[in-house]
Amino acid sequence: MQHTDNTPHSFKDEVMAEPGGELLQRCYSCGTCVSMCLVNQTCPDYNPRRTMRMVMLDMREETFRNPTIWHCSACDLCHPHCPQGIHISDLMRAIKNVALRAGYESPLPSAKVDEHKCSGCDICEKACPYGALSLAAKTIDGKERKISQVDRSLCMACGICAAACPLSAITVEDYSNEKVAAQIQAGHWLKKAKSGDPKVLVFNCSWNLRAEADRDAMSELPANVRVVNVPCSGRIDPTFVLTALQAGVARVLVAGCQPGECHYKQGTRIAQGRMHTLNHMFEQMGMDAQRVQFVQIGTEDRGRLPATILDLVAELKSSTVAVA
Amino acid sequence: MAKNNKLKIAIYWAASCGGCDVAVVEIGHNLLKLKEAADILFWPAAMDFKYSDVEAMPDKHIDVCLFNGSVRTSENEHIAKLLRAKSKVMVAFGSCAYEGCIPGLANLYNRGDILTRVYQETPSTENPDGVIPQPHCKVPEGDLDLPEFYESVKPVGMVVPVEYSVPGCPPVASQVWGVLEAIIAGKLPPVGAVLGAGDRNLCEECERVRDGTKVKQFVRPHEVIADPKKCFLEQGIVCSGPATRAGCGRPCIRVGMPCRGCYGPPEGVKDQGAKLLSAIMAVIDPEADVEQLVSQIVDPVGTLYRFSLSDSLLQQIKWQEAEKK
Amino acid sequence: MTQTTKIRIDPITRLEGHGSINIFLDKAGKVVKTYFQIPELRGFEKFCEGRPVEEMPRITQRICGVCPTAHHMAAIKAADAVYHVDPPPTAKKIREMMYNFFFVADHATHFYILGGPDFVVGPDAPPAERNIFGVIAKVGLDIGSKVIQALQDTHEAVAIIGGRYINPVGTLPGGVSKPISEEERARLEQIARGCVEFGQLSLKLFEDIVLKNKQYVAMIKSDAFTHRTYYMGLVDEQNRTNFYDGKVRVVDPDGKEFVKYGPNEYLQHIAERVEPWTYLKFPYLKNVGWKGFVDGKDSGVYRATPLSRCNAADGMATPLAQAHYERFYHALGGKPVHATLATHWARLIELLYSGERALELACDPEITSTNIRTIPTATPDEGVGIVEAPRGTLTHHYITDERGLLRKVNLVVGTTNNHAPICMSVQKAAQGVIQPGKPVTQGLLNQVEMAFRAYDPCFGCATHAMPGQMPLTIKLHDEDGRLITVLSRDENGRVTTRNAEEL
Repeated sequence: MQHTDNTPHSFKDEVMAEPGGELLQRCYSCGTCVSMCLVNQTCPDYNPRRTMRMVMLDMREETFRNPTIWHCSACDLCHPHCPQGIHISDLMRAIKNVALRAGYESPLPSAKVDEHKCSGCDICEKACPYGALSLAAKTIDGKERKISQVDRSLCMACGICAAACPLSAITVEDYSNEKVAAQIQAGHWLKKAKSGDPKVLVFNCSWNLRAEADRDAMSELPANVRVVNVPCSGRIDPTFVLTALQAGVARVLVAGCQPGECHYKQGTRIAQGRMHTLNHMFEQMGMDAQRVQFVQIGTEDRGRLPATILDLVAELKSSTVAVA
Repeated sequence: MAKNNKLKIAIYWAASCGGCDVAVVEIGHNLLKLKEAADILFWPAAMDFKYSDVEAMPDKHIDVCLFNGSVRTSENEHIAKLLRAKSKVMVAFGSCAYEGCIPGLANLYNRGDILTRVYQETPSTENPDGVIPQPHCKVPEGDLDLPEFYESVKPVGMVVPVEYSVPGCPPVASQVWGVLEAIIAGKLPPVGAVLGAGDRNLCEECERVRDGTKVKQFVRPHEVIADPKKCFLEQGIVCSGPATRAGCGRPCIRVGMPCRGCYGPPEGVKDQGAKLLSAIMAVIDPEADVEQLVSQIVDPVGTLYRFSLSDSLLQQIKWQEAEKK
Repeated sequence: MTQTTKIRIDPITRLEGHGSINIFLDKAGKVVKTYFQIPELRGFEKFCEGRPVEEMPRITQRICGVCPTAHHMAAIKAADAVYHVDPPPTAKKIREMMYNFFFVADHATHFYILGGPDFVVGPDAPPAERNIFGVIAKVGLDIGSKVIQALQDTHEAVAIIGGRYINPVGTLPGGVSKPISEEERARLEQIARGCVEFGQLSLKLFEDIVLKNKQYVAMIKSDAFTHRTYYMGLVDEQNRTNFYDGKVRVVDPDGKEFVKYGPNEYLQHIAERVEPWTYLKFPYLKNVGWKGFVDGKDSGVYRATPLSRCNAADGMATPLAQAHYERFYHALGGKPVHATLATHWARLIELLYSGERALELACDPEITSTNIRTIPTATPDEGVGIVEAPRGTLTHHYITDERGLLRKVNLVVGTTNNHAPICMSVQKAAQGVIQPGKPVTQGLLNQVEMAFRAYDPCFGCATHAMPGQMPLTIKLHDEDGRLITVLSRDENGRVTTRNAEEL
């Protein structure tokens, strides 16, 4: 039935009236988007095709409770491949906005700002790919200051802000500095660094392994390799790398994604800038620049990360230079 | 020596430029207040007591020693240890004592290279016999000694334990007087604190406008005419402000120059350079060429660690590598 | 080897780091030789390699916290030269203005707090009075507070232009970073007028207290404090002293021009010698040659001090200072003046000139122009910047790569020029005052110090003793190195002698 006015009369209409939702009806459920989506690989409930279908069937509550609209990070791997030219992440965001207005909250962990440590320097706002941080005036300890605040509904918990903050005033619950340190130290791994094989620490982004075989290979690495998973290589503060080396680790490898394929838009580029500058600094200091390595794994790179790590281990074994 | 209730103070300079001593003098008329409240028992910059006077003091005779300058020679180390024994409280005063400061950049080179450059290579030096100053030297009349020039620059806190630190190159006059007042009044925070500065970064004190512009390219200050009202970093000019402790009153920013970090890292930050790097690379424009941006930071160690190299994790790693060789 | 005993004076204060004097006596108790050692080295000439040249003003000014602005100016001029860029006139004027305010502050600090008390209060006055408080007692609180105010005002002036007094900023290759507003200019003019008044006040003081005192004048003219050396200073096109820019002029011990060179030619004229017993090098005139620690026309030893600048120039560029300049030479028997202690007087003439020059610049119609930067376009390569530091001619020589990162750095620093003359002055003074059979007294100690203090060595802080004065210890060892006597002068000037048995 045709409606002559613009008032949404159904959930579908509501979504299509939301900025970003205009092209919903173009979708003919081919599923190409799902085949590109990294999140779907580890979380089958996450399914943009199904979500769009549910909207068209006016399945409001089911859609809101589905993880898809909350976990879409706008990495946009799907968008170039959609035969109908739908900007799917915009659409997911549109549905999310409707959900937020309906009183739903993001189930994701969120960044948190320590108001006493924050100076309002605004580095975080510029670093965040989602505009989830902004400054607001607040009175703290009797003084009015500008403090950064997180919009939970926008925060994707990538941790880029936590590394960017020069005052370490931001934490992301599951990937706090303390949690990362605990993962490195678990099982007294660092203590064992003093004897035995030289240690390799890998900071791995959670999204760069596409194949099941790769994920399996990563759990079968030798004992002198420790892998710490983080949402994004942009979460890696160069301080982590230096702390690990100073504690006796022989090599630190930071693994991210290829530019353009980052799950959080620009995290891998930020990591690249940091790690390559760190390499230059090691060279300036006359230190072994090989101790810090950065690799960007592409969507087609099957087996590359495990192979890179094993090569590192082999090289260390055969090296005559004494290491930690 | 002082048989009264006055505080007993010592002010000493190790491998120093003298600026931190001038900084004490810069408190101006407050110097008279200082003189009223304290006896200065040892201040080679201004009062010519001798080492033997200090040696003759009982241990812990000095209430507070303000120690500026880093440890570069055997004499610096010797006097640091001597003053530590004779003082109840030792304060690492100024950037050299606190974190090595600019002369800490000498740790980029080894001792031999420094001596060769200074005494043999420089174009104005005429030294056909390749003479290098020696710790012990025999001259026709007798023997002469020089302190040994060490392999590295170290903050004084790496040689003896210190109770407090006052950052700055040099600490600004208003902060210096504030610290002295606190010492005189006996109102010091728990041991380990940084005195004479804030906790957070310089951005908090900076009145320049930040509008969210991201960096498309890094430029050096002389390559552009910077907008005097806008944030330096947002204009692509590296500014150490985000990773530098507040408290100086941003004199450099005020006259149109970016901060270079002389107040050291903010509270809770161990490695100033790593944090600064983390921050400035996080605000790059999504369209910018990352490798070009990296190459535009032409002297990363000298820029990101200008004052704090000796006290950084990076430095620790280098010393570890050198030890293993 | 001759049998000798060694007297060690340690530490000499107001040295950057520390200095010590070693006096060797023969068996008869005559001074054979003295060695003035500088035990400090930080290696700027090496660790500046790899640094961007535009950062060198900020980096090299950490060589000295008393005269950071001198290194700053030499560095920025060298950086301009490296980039082959000429700053707009206003930028040069702003820099020169800041530099002259700094000179007033620095020279005032030396005269009133550092070296001057020897004269104002007197070389034989009780040691406890030979400091700023003694000066204030002698000249009165009224003048004393003027001194402190002058220091505060000049510090403020430098901070207006360069952000802060110690380690100022604000220069860039091609200009300066901030223009002077009219409000700032008015305040700077006010301060500069105060500097001129203060300069005249200081010279009047010197006249009343020093020049009218026959004993002091005799001391100034005495042979023990005289060396006939070459003299160096920066001069403008009319051969008048300029601290910021010009050519280096050297005159011989008879006052005749020996050479005049531009920055790029310094290597043809200056060489530095190394001795194993001190970390500081010894510059000398290459074309005369090194003949040892001797003066005279055949020795390449030269001096670079306020006295040298007056000798090397034909006059001062400002009227009030010029009048004093003429009086100076009239009083001391014409040019050149070789009396080391006359440096104190020359320093005050320069203080007055700096005040007048700062005032000229503060009233210059161009000083508030906003045309303060020329962006460099040439590929950077090599450059030399020379200024006069308060303590002597300062040379910065940089070679960079094509990005302007330093490859090589060579510095010939103000006081370094005077290292050999200081050694000679100390030795001559020691030889003059330590005589066989004569007891070693506190007066002796002071006169040895005065010989060195006149040079205002730039390893020092801006203040002198506060309460008390310069305690010294002299240890006398016999030929076998055994300690026999310790002579001490404490902060109150009391001299005690302790023999070995008591120790």
